[in-house]
Amino acid sequence: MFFLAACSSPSAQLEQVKQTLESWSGTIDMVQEQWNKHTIPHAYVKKTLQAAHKELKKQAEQVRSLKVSAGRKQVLIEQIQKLENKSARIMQEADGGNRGRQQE
Amino acid sequence: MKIKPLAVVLGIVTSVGGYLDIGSIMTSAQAGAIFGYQLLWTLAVAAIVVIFLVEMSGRFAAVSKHTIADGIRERFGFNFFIIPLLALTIVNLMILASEIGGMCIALELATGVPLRLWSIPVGLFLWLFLWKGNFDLVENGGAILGLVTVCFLVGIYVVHPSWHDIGRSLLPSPPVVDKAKYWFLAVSIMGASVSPYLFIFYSSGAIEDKWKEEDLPTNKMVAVVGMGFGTIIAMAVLLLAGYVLQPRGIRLDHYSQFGAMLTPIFGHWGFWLLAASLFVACMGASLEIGLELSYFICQGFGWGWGENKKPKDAPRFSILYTIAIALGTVIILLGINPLKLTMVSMALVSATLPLAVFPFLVLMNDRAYMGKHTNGLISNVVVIVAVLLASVLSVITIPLEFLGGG
Repeated sequence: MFFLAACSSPSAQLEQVKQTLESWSGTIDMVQEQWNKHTIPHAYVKKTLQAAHKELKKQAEQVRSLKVSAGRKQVLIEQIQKLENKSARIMQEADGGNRGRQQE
Repeated sequence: MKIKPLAVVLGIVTSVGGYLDIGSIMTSAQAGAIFGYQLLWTLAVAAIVVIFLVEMSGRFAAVSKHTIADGIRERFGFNFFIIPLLALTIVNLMILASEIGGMCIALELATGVPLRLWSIPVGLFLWLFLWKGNFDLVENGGAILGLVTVCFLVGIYVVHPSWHDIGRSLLPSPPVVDKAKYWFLAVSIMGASVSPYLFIFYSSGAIEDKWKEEDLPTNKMVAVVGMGFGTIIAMAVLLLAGYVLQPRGIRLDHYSQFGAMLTPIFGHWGFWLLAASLFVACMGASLEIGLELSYFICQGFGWGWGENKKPKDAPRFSILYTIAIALGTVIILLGINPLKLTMVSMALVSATLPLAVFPFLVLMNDRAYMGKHTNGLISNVVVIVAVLLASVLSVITIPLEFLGGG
Protein backbone atom coordinates (compact mmCIF):
# COMPACT_ATOMS: atom_id res chain seq x y z
CA MET A 1 0.00 0.00 0.00
CA PHE A 2 2.74 2.43 0.96
CA PHE A 3 4.63 1.46 -2.18
CA LEU A 4 1.54 2.34 -4.19
CA ALA A 5 1.23 5.67 -2.39
CA ALA A 6 4.82 6.52 -3.30
CA CYS A 7 4.07 5.80 -6.96
CA SER A 8 1.43 8.54 -7.42
CA SER A 9 2.29 11.44 -9.76
CA PRO A 10 3.93 14.68 -8.46
CA SER A 11 0.82 16.70 -9.33
CA ALA A 12 -1.39 14.26 -7.40
CA GLN A 13 1.01 14.44 -4.47
CA LEU A 14 0.99 18.25 -4.64
CA GLU A 15 -2.80 18.29 -4.67
CA GLN A 16 -2.85 15.97 -1.66
CA VAL A 17 -0.49 18.28 0.26
CA LYS A 18 -2.68 21.29 -0.55
CA GLN A 19 -5.80 19.46 0.64
CA THR A 20 -4.09 18.38 3.85
CA LEU A 21 -2.93 21.93 4.56
CA GLU A 22 -6.38 23.31 3.93
CA SER A 23 -7.82 20.68 6.24
CA TRP A 24 -5.41 21.52 9.08
CA SER A 25 -5.84 25.24 8.52
CA GLY A 26 -9.61 24.76 8.97
CA THR A 27 -8.98 22.66 12.06
CA ILE A 28 -6.68 25.25 13.67
CA ASP A 29 -9.23 27.99 12.97
CA MET A 30 -12.03 25.92 14.43
CA VAL A 31 -10.02 25.09 17.55
CA GLN A 32 -9.30 28.79 18.06
CA GLU A 33 -12.93 29.75 17.48
CA GLN A 34 -14.31 27.07 19.83
CA TRP A 35 -11.67 27.73 22.50
CA ASN A 36 -12.66 31.38 22.48
CA LYS A 37 -16.29 30.36 22.89
CA HIS A 38 -15.45 28.14 25.90
CA THR A 39 -16.89 25.05 24.20
CA ILE A 40 -13.81 22.79 24.16
CA PRO A 41 -11.49 21.78 27.02
CA HIS A 42 -7.81 22.70 27.22
CA ALA A 43 -6.72 19.04 26.93
CA TYR A 44 -8.47 18.76 23.57
CA VAL A 45 -6.95 22.00 22.28
CA LYS A 46 -3.50 20.78 23.23
CA LYS A 47 -3.92 17.33 21.67
CA THR A 48 -5.34 18.70 18.43
CA LEU A 49 -2.64 21.31 18.02
CA GLN A 50 0.02 18.69 18.76
CA ALA A 51 -1.50 16.51 16.04
CA ALA A 52 -1.51 19.54 13.71
CA HIS A 53 2.17 20.23 14.47
CA LYS A 54 3.10 16.60 13.74
CA GLU A 55 1.15 16.56 10.50
CA LEU A 56 2.50 19.93 9.31
CA LYS A 57 6.04 18.69 9.93
CA LYS A 58 5.29 15.61 7.87
CA GLN A 59 3.83 17.75 5.08
CA ALA A 60 6.92 19.99 5.06
CA GLU A 61 9.11 16.93 4.51
CA GLN A 62 6.75 15.72 1.80
CA VAL A 63 6.91 19.11 0.04
CA ARG A 64 10.73 19.09 0.09
CA SER A 65 10.77 15.68 -1.58
CA LEU A 66 8.25 16.64 -4.30
CA LYS A 67 9.48 16.81 -7.87
CA VAL A 68 7.97 20.23 -8.62
CA SER A 69 9.49 23.68 -9.19
CA ALA A 70 11.32 25.41 -6.30
CA GLY A 71 8.87 28.33 -6.46
CA ARG A 72 5.84 26.10 -5.89
CA LYS A 73 7.63 24.38 -3.03
CA GLN A 74 8.46 27.73 -1.44
CA VAL A 75 4.82 28.86 -1.48
CA LEU A 76 3.77 25.70 0.35
CA ILE A 77 6.64 25.84 2.86
CA GLU A 78 5.66 29.44 3.72
CA GLN A 79 2.05 28.38 4.14
CA ILE A 80 3.11 25.56 6.47
CA GLN A 81 5.27 27.98 8.47
CA LYS A 82 2.35 30.39 8.89
CA LEU A 83 0.12 27.58 10.13
CA GLU A 84 2.85 26.40 12.51
CA ASN A 85 3.18 29.90 13.96
CA LYS A 86 -0.55 30.32 14.34
CA SER A 87 -0.89 26.94 16.01
CA ALA A 88 1.99 27.72 18.41
CA ARG A 89 0.38 31.05 19.33
CA ILE A 90 -3.01 29.45 20.07
CA MET A 91 -1.29 26.79 22.14
CA GLN A 92 0.48 29.49 24.14
CA GLU A 93 -2.79 31.33 24.70
CA ALA A 94 -4.56 28.14 25.75
CA ASP A 95 -1.75 27.21 28.13
CA GLY A 96 -2.03 30.67 29.66
CA GLY A 97 -5.81 30.31 29.92
CA ASN A 98 -6.35 33.28 27.58
CA ARG A 99 -9.44 33.41 25.40
CA GLY A 100 -11.13 35.89 23.18
CA ARG A 101 -8.40 36.77 20.68
CA GLN A 102 -9.80 37.48 17.23
CA GLN A 103 -9.16 35.04 14.41
CA GLU A 104 -6.86 36.19 11.67
CA MET B 1 -49.12 -14.76 13.90
CA LYS B 2 -49.08 -11.60 16.00
CA ILE B 3 -46.58 -8.85 16.55
CA LYS B 4 -45.35 -8.64 20.17
CA PRO B 5 -45.30 -4.90 20.93
CA LEU B 6 -42.84 -5.09 23.83
CA ALA B 7 -40.41 -7.25 21.85
CA VAL B 8 -40.71 -4.87 18.90
CA VAL B 9 -40.01 -1.79 21.04
CA LEU B 10 -37.05 -3.46 22.73
CA GLY B 11 -35.75 -4.74 19.41
CA ILE B 12 -36.03 -1.30 17.84
CA VAL B 13 -34.33 0.38 20.80
CA THR B 14 -31.45 -2.11 20.64
CA SER B 15 -31.16 -1.74 16.88
CA VAL B 16 -31.16 2.06 17.02
CA GLY B 17 -28.85 2.26 20.03
CA GLY B 18 -26.58 -0.45 18.69
CA TYR B 19 -26.45 0.60 15.04
CA LEU B 20 -23.64 3.12 15.18
CA ASP B 21 -20.06 1.99 15.62
CA ILE B 22 -16.68 3.45 14.76
CA GLY B 23 -17.10 2.31 11.16
CA SER B 24 -20.44 3.97 10.54
CA ILE B 25 -19.49 7.11 12.49
CA MET B 26 -16.11 7.66 10.83
CA THR B 27 -17.05 6.67 7.28
CA SER B 28 -20.17 8.86 7.41
CA ALA B 29 -18.31 11.75 9.02
CA GLN B 30 -15.45 11.59 6.51
CA ALA B 31 -17.90 11.33 3.62
CA GLY B 32 -19.73 14.42 4.87
CA ALA B 33 -16.51 16.30 5.56
CA ILE B 34 -15.10 15.73 2.07
CA PHE B 35 -18.17 15.49 -0.17
CA GLY B 36 -20.87 17.28 1.79
CA TYR B 37 -24.20 15.51 1.40
CA GLN B 38 -23.27 13.88 -1.92
CA LEU B 39 -22.68 10.36 -0.54
CA LEU B 40 -25.96 10.19 1.38
CA TRP B 41 -27.35 7.79 -1.21
CA THR B 42 -24.85 5.09 -0.20
CA LEU B 43 -26.36 4.99 3.28
CA ALA B 44 -29.81 4.62 1.75
CA VAL B 45 -28.64 1.70 -0.42
CA ALA B 46 -26.81 0.13 2.53
CA ALA B 47 -29.97 0.46 4.64
CA ILE B 48 -32.01 -1.55 2.13
CA VAL B 49 -29.39 -4.30 2.01
CA VAL B 50 -28.92 -4.45 5.78
CA ILE B 51 -32.69 -4.57 6.37
CA PHE B 52 -32.96 -7.54 4.01
CA LEU B 53 -29.98 -9.32 5.57
CA VAL B 54 -30.99 -8.76 9.18
CA GLU B 55 -34.55 -9.87 8.46
CA MET B 56 -33.18 -12.98 6.71
CA SER B 57 -30.83 -13.85 9.56
CA GLY B 58 -33.63 -13.61 12.14
CA ARG B 59 -35.95 -15.63 9.87
CA PHE B 60 -33.26 -18.26 9.31
CA ALA B 61 -32.70 -18.71 13.04
CA ALA B 62 -36.41 -18.76 13.89
CA VAL B 63 -37.39 -21.23 11.17
CA SER B 64 -34.38 -23.54 10.83
CA LYS B 65 -33.23 -23.32 14.48
CA HIS B 66 -29.71 -23.13 13.07
CA THR B 67 -27.18 -20.36 13.41
CA ILE B 68 -25.64 -19.13 10.16
CA ALA B 69 -22.27 -20.77 10.90
CA ASP B 70 -23.99 -24.07 11.72
CA GLY B 71 -25.94 -23.89 8.49
CA ILE B 72 -22.96 -23.09 6.27
CA ARG B 73 -20.84 -25.88 7.76
CA GLU B 74 -23.65 -28.43 7.54
CA ARG B 75 -24.74 -27.47 4.02
CA PHE B 76 -21.33 -26.94 2.35
CA GLY B 77 -19.03 -29.09 4.49
CA PHE B 78 -16.24 -28.12 6.84
CA ASN B 79 -13.63 -27.59 4.09
CA PHE B 80 -15.75 -24.87 2.51
CA PHE B 81 -16.66 -23.36 5.86
CA ILE B 82 -12.98 -22.64 6.54
CA ILE B 83 -12.99 -19.93 3.80
CA PRO B 84 -15.64 -17.60 5.29
CA LEU B 85 -14.39 -18.49 8.76
CA LEU B 86 -10.85 -17.27 8.01
CA ALA B 87 -11.97 -14.20 6.08
CA LEU B 88 -14.51 -13.12 8.70
CA THR B 89 -12.20 -13.82 11.61
CA ILE B 90 -9.40 -11.66 10.17
CA VAL B 91 -11.68 -8.80 9.13
CA ASN B 92 -13.66 -8.89 12.37
CA LEU B 93 -10.48 -8.83 14.43
CA MET B 94 -9.50 -5.68 12.53
CA ILE B 95 -12.94 -4.19 13.22
CA LEU B 96 -12.72 -5.17 16.90
CA ALA B 97 -9.36 -3.41 17.16
CA SER B 98 -10.92 -0.36 15.45
CA GLU B 99 -13.80 -0.34 17.94
CA ILE B 100 -11.43 -0.63 20.90
CA GLY B 101 -9.47 2.20 19.27
CA GLY B 102 -12.72 4.19 19.01
CA MET B 103 -13.35 3.86 22.74
CA CYS B 104 -9.75 4.94 23.38
CA ILE B 105 -10.16 7.93 21.01
CA ALA B 106 -13.25 9.01 22.97
CA LEU B 107 -11.32 8.76 26.22
CA GLU B 108 -8.36 10.66 24.75
CA LEU B 109 -10.70 13.42 23.54
CA ALA B 110 -12.26 13.67 26.99
CA THR B 111 -9.12 13.47 29.10
CA GLY B 112 -6.13 14.29 26.89
CA VAL B 113 -4.47 11.03 28.01
CA PRO B 114 -2.99 9.30 24.90
CA LEU B 115 -5.25 6.63 23.44
CA ARG B 116 -2.61 3.91 23.65
CA LEU B 117 -2.60 4.24 27.43
CA TRP B 118 -6.34 3.59 27.46
CA SER B 119 -6.14 0.38 25.45
CA ILE B 120 -5.44 -1.97 28.38
CA PRO B 121 -8.09 -0.55 30.76
CA VAL B 122 -10.59 -0.59 27.87
CA GLY B 123 -9.69 -4.18 26.97
CA LEU B 124 -10.07 -5.28 30.59
CA PHE B 125 -13.39 -3.47 30.91
CA LEU B 126 -14.76 -5.21 27.79
CA TRP B 127 -13.52 -8.60 28.90
CA LEU B 128 -15.05 -8.21 32.36
CA PHE B 129 -18.35 -7.12 30.82
CA LEU B 130 -18.49 -10.29 28.72
CA TRP B 131 -17.12 -12.58 31.44
CA LYS B 132 -19.54 -11.43 34.14
CA GLY B 133 -22.49 -10.37 31.98
CA ASN B 134 -25.15 -12.24 30.04
CA PHE B 135 -26.64 -11.82 26.57
CA ASP B 136 -29.39 -9.42 27.67
CA LEU B 137 -26.90 -7.17 29.41
CA VAL B 138 -24.68 -7.05 26.32
CA GLU B 139 -27.56 -6.55 23.89
CA ASN B 140 -29.77 -4.19 25.87
CA GLY B 141 -27.28 -2.48 28.19
CA GLY B 142 -24.96 -1.33 25.43
CA ALA B 143 -27.82 -0.40 23.14
CA ILE B 144 -29.77 1.63 25.71
CA LEU B 145 -26.63 3.62 26.51
CA GLY B 146 -26.19 3.92 22.75
CA LEU B 147 -29.34 6.01 22.56
CA VAL B 148 -27.08 8.97 23.34
CA THR B 149 -26.23 8.83 19.61
CA VAL B 150 -29.71 10.26 18.98
CA CYS B 151 -27.96 13.59 19.67
CA PHE B 152 -26.89 13.55 16.00
CA LEU B 153 -30.56 13.59 15.01
CA VAL B 154 -31.24 16.45 17.43
CA GLY B 155 -28.32 18.25 15.78
CA ILE B 156 -30.08 17.98 12.42
CA TYR B 157 -33.23 19.42 13.97
CA VAL B 158 -31.19 22.35 15.29
CA VAL B 159 -29.29 23.19 12.10
CA HIS B 160 -32.22 22.76 9.66
CA PRO B 161 -30.28 21.60 6.60
CA SER B 162 -31.86 22.15 3.20
CA TRP B 163 -34.34 19.31 2.61
CA HIS B 164 -34.07 19.94 -1.11
CA ASP B 165 -30.30 19.25 -0.99
CA ILE B 166 -30.86 16.17 1.17
CA GLY B 167 -33.49 14.83 -1.23
CA ARG B 168 -31.18 15.38 -4.18
CA SER B 169 -28.33 13.57 -2.40
CA LEU B 170 -30.43 10.45 -2.04
CA LEU B 171 -29.94 9.93 -5.78
CA PRO B 172 -26.46 8.78 -6.83
CA SER B 173 -24.41 11.44 -8.57
CA PRO B 174 -20.90 11.13 -9.99
CA PRO B 175 -18.04 12.90 -8.21
CA VAL B 176 -16.46 15.93 -9.85
CA VAL B 177 -13.14 15.67 -8.01
CA ASP B 178 -11.45 13.03 -5.84
CA LYS B 179 -13.09 10.17 -7.73
CA ALA B 180 -11.03 7.44 -6.07
CA LYS B 181 -11.77 8.80 -2.60
CA TYR B 182 -15.47 9.08 -3.43
CA TRP B 183 -15.80 5.44 -4.41
CA PHE B 184 -13.52 4.29 -1.61
CA LEU B 185 -15.80 6.04 0.87
CA ALA B 186 -18.89 4.65 -0.85
CA VAL B 187 -17.68 1.07 -0.37
CA SER B 188 -16.44 1.82 3.14
CA ILE B 189 -19.90 3.11 4.08
CA MET B 190 -21.37 -0.04 2.60
CA GLY B 191 -18.93 -2.19 4.58
CA ALA B 192 -19.65 -0.28 7.78
CA SER B 193 -23.40 -0.73 7.40
CA VAL B 194 -23.58 -4.26 5.99
CA SER B 195 -20.97 -5.76 8.27
CA PRO B 196 -21.52 -9.55 8.54
CA TYR B 197 -20.91 -9.38 12.28
CA LEU B 198 -24.23 -7.56 12.56
CA PHE B 199 -26.37 -10.31 11.08
CA ILE B 200 -24.33 -13.19 12.52
CA PHE B 201 -24.75 -11.61 15.97
CA TYR B 202 -28.45 -11.02 15.31
CA SER B 203 -29.02 -14.62 14.26
CA SER B 204 -27.06 -15.98 17.24
CA GLY B 205 -29.12 -13.70 19.49
CA ALA B 206 -32.30 -15.11 17.99
CA ILE B 207 -31.13 -18.63 18.90
CA GLU B 208 -30.09 -17.47 22.41
CA ASP B 209 -33.58 -15.95 22.81
CA LYS B 210 -35.19 -19.15 21.39
CA TRP B 211 -37.14 -17.48 18.58
CA LYS B 212 -39.91 -19.46 16.88
CA GLU B 213 -41.89 -19.05 13.66
CA GLU B 214 -44.44 -16.89 15.48
CA ASP B 215 -41.67 -14.36 16.07
CA LEU B 216 -41.31 -13.71 12.32
CA PRO B 217 -43.57 -10.61 12.17
CA THR B 218 -41.71 -9.13 15.15
CA ASN B 219 -38.42 -9.93 13.41
CA LYS B 220 -39.57 -8.17 10.25
CA MET B 221 -40.70 -5.09 12.16
CA VAL B 222 -37.47 -4.86 14.16
CA ALA B 223 -35.34 -5.27 11.02
CA VAL B 224 -37.20 -2.59 9.06
CA VAL B 225 -37.81 0.00 11.76
CA GLY B 226 -34.67 -0.62 13.85
CA MET B 227 -32.21 -0.69 10.96
CA GLY B 228 -34.11 2.13 9.26
CA PHE B 229 -33.78 4.40 12.31
CA GLY B 230 -30.17 3.32 12.77
CA THR B 231 -29.44 4.38 9.21
CA ILE B 232 -31.14 7.73 9.80
CA ILE B 233 -28.72 8.39 12.69
CA ALA B 234 -25.75 7.49 10.46
CA MET B 235 -27.21 9.88 7.85
CA ALA B 236 -27.37 12.57 10.54
CA VAL B 237 -23.64 12.09 11.21
CA LEU B 238 -22.92 12.56 7.51
CA LEU B 239 -25.15 15.61 7.23
CA LEU B 240 -23.66 17.28 10.31
CA ALA B 241 -20.13 16.66 9.05
CA GLY B 242 -21.24 18.16 5.74
CA TYR B 243 -22.72 21.13 7.55
CA VAL B 244 -19.91 21.79 10.05
CA LEU B 245 -16.67 20.39 8.64
CA GLN B 246 -16.94 20.64 4.86
CA PRO B 247 -17.32 24.45 4.68
CA ARG B 248 -14.16 24.73 6.81
CA GLY B 249 -12.24 22.36 4.50
CA ILE B 250 -11.66 19.87 7.34
CA ARG B 251 -11.27 16.43 5.77
CA LEU B 252 -10.93 14.28 8.90
CA ASP B 253 -7.42 13.09 8.16
CA HIS B 254 -6.94 12.66 11.92
CA TYR B 255 -9.40 11.65 14.62
CA SER B 256 -8.72 14.79 16.67
CA GLN B 257 -10.34 16.85 13.89
CA PHE B 258 -13.61 15.10 14.70
CA GLY B 259 -13.75 16.15 18.38
CA ALA B 260 -15.30 19.59 17.92
CA MET B 261 -17.84 18.59 15.26
CA LEU B 262 -20.88 19.15 17.47
CA THR B 263 -19.68 22.20 19.40
CA PRO B 264 -20.86 24.78 16.82
CA ILE B 265 -24.33 23.26 17.28
CA PHE B 266 -24.57 22.35 20.98
CA GLY B 267 -21.78 24.50 22.41
CA HIS B 268 -19.94 23.05 25.42
CA TRP B 269 -22.33 20.04 25.56
CA GLY B 270 -21.53 19.15 21.97
CA PHE B 271 -18.00 18.16 22.86
CA TRP B 272 -19.07 15.79 25.64
CA LEU B 273 -22.00 14.40 23.68
CA LEU B 274 -19.70 13.50 20.81
CA ALA B 275 -17.13 11.83 23.08
CA ALA B 276 -19.92 9.93 24.90
CA SER B 277 -21.56 8.88 21.62
CA LEU B 278 -18.28 7.58 20.23
CA PHE B 279 -17.49 5.73 23.46
CA VAL B 280 -20.81 3.95 23.90
CA ALA B 281 -21.26 3.22 20.19
CA CYS B 282 -17.83 1.58 20.06
CA MET B 283 -18.38 -0.19 23.38
CA GLY B 284 -21.61 -1.80 22.16
CA ALA B 285 -19.97 -2.83 18.89
CA SER B 286 -16.84 -4.20 20.64
CA LEU B 287 -18.98 -6.41 22.84
CA GLU B 288 -20.99 -7.63 19.88
CA ILE B 289 -17.93 -8.35 17.73
CA GLY B 290 -16.13 -10.08 20.61
CA LEU B 291 -19.13 -12.35 20.98
CA GLU B 292 -19.64 -12.75 17.25
CA LEU B 293 -16.08 -13.98 16.76
CA SER B 294 -16.65 -16.61 19.46
CA TYR B 295 -20.09 -17.49 18.12
CA PHE B 296 -18.89 -18.05 14.58
CA ILE B 297 -15.89 -20.19 15.52
CA CYS B 298 -17.70 -22.27 18.17
CA GLN B 299 -20.76 -22.78 16.00
CA GLY B 300 -18.57 -23.70 13.04
CA PHE B 301 -16.58 -26.26 15.03
CA GLY B 302 -19.63 -27.54 16.89
CA TRP B 303 -18.33 -26.44 20.31
CA GLY B 304 -20.55 -25.32 23.17
CA TRP B 305 -21.42 -21.64 23.05
CA GLY B 306 -23.66 -19.03 24.62
CA GLU B 307 -23.25 -15.77 26.49
CA ASN B 308 -26.00 -16.90 28.84
CA LYS B 309 -23.80 -19.81 29.99
CA LYS B 310 -21.23 -19.40 32.75
CA PRO B 311 -17.63 -19.33 31.42
CA LYS B 312 -16.94 -22.72 33.02
CA ASP B 313 -19.88 -24.23 31.09
CA ALA B 314 -18.66 -22.91 27.72
CA PRO B 315 -14.89 -22.63 28.26
CA ARG B 316 -13.84 -22.52 24.58
CA PHE B 317 -16.41 -19.82 23.89
CA SER B 318 -15.14 -17.67 26.77
CA ILE B 319 -11.48 -18.23 25.88
CA LEU B 320 -12.12 -17.23 22.27
CA TYR B 321 -13.58 -13.80 23.13
CA THR B 322 -10.81 -13.36 25.68
CA ILE B 323 -8.21 -13.94 22.95
CA ALA B 324 -10.08 -11.69 20.49
CA ILE B 325 -10.24 -8.79 22.95
CA ALA B 326 -6.59 -9.29 23.91
CA LEU B 327 -5.53 -9.20 20.23
CA GLY B 328 -7.62 -6.10 19.54
CA THR B 329 -6.11 -4.40 22.56
CA VAL B 330 -2.56 -5.26 21.48
CA ILE B 331 -3.16 -3.84 17.99
CA ILE B 332 -4.08 -0.46 19.52
CA LEU B 333 -1.30 -0.69 22.09
CA LEU B 334 1.19 -1.11 19.22
CA GLY B 335 0.23 2.35 18.02
CA ILE B 336 -1.74 1.54 14.87
CA ASN B 337 -3.90 4.54 13.94
CA PRO B 338 -7.53 3.53 14.70
CA LEU B 339 -8.96 5.89 12.08
CA LYS B 340 -6.85 4.44 9.25
CA LEU B 341 -7.50 0.92 10.51
CA THR B 342 -11.23 1.64 10.50
CA MET B 343 -11.30 2.97 6.94
CA VAL B 344 -9.28 0.03 5.57
CA SER B 345 -11.29 -2.52 7.59
CA MET B 346 -14.59 -1.18 6.29
CA ALA B 347 -13.42 -1.36 2.68
CA LEU B 348 -12.16 -4.91 3.33
CA VAL B 349 -15.57 -5.85 4.76
CA SER B 350 -17.10 -4.84 1.43
CA ALA B 351 -14.48 -6.82 -0.48
CA THR B 352 -15.15 -9.98 1.54
CA LEU B 353 -18.94 -9.62 1.76
CA PRO B 354 -19.68 -12.29 -0.91
CA LEU B 355 -17.79 -14.89 1.14
CA ALA B 356 -20.27 -14.55 3.99
CA VAL B 357 -23.40 -13.44 2.18
CA PHE B 358 -23.58 -15.81 -0.81
CA PRO B 359 -23.44 -19.09 1.17
CA PHE B 360 -26.04 -17.59 3.49
CA LEU B 361 -28.27 -16.76 0.51
CA VAL B 362 -28.03 -20.39 -0.64
CA LEU B 363 -29.28 -21.45 2.80
CA MET B 364 -32.08 -18.90 2.65
CA ASN B 365 -33.28 -20.49 -0.61
CA ASP B 366 -33.00 -24.09 0.59
CA ARG B 367 -36.38 -25.60 1.47
CA ALA B 368 -34.69 -28.20 3.65
CA TYR B 369 -33.83 -25.39 6.06
CA MET B 370 -36.48 -22.77 5.40
CA GLY B 371 -39.57 -24.79 4.38
CA LYS B 372 -42.15 -22.33 3.07
CA HIS B 373 -40.14 -19.34 4.36
CA THR B 374 -37.50 -19.27 1.62
CA ASN B 375 -36.42 -15.93 0.11
CA GLY B 376 -38.42 -14.14 -2.53
CA LEU B 377 -36.96 -13.00 -5.85
CA ILE B 378 -36.66 -9.33 -4.86
CA SER B 379 -34.63 -9.93 -1.70
CA ASN B 380 -32.28 -12.29 -3.56
CA VAL B 381 -31.70 -9.88 -6.44
CA VAL B 382 -31.26 -6.77 -4.24
CA VAL B 383 -28.72 -8.44 -1.98
CA ILE B 384 -26.77 -10.17 -4.78
CA VAL B 385 -26.48 -7.02 -6.92
CA ALA B 386 -25.52 -4.73 -4.02
CA VAL B 387 -23.00 -7.14 -2.52
CA LEU B 388 -21.38 -7.89 -5.88
CA LEU B 389 -21.14 -4.20 -6.77
CA ALA B 390 -19.67 -3.30 -3.37
CA SER B 391 -17.17 -6.11 -3.58
CA VAL B 392 -15.97 -5.31 -7.10
CA LEU B 393 -15.79 -1.58 -6.34
CA SER B 394 -13.78 -2.17 -3.20
CA VAL B 395 -11.26 -4.36 -5.03
CA ILE B 396 -10.78 -1.48 -7.50
CA THR B 397 -10.84 1.42 -5.06
CA ILE B 398 -8.64 0.12 -2.23
CA PRO B 399 -5.42 0.29 -4.36
CA LEU B 400 -6.59 3.57 -5.95
CA GLU B 401 -7.09 5.15 -2.53
CA PHE B 402 -3.48 4.44 -1.67
CA LEU B 403 -2.30 5.59 -5.08
CA GLY B 404 -4.02 8.91 -4.39
CA GLY B 405 -5.52 8.70 -7.86
CA GLY B 406 -8.67 10.25 -9.03
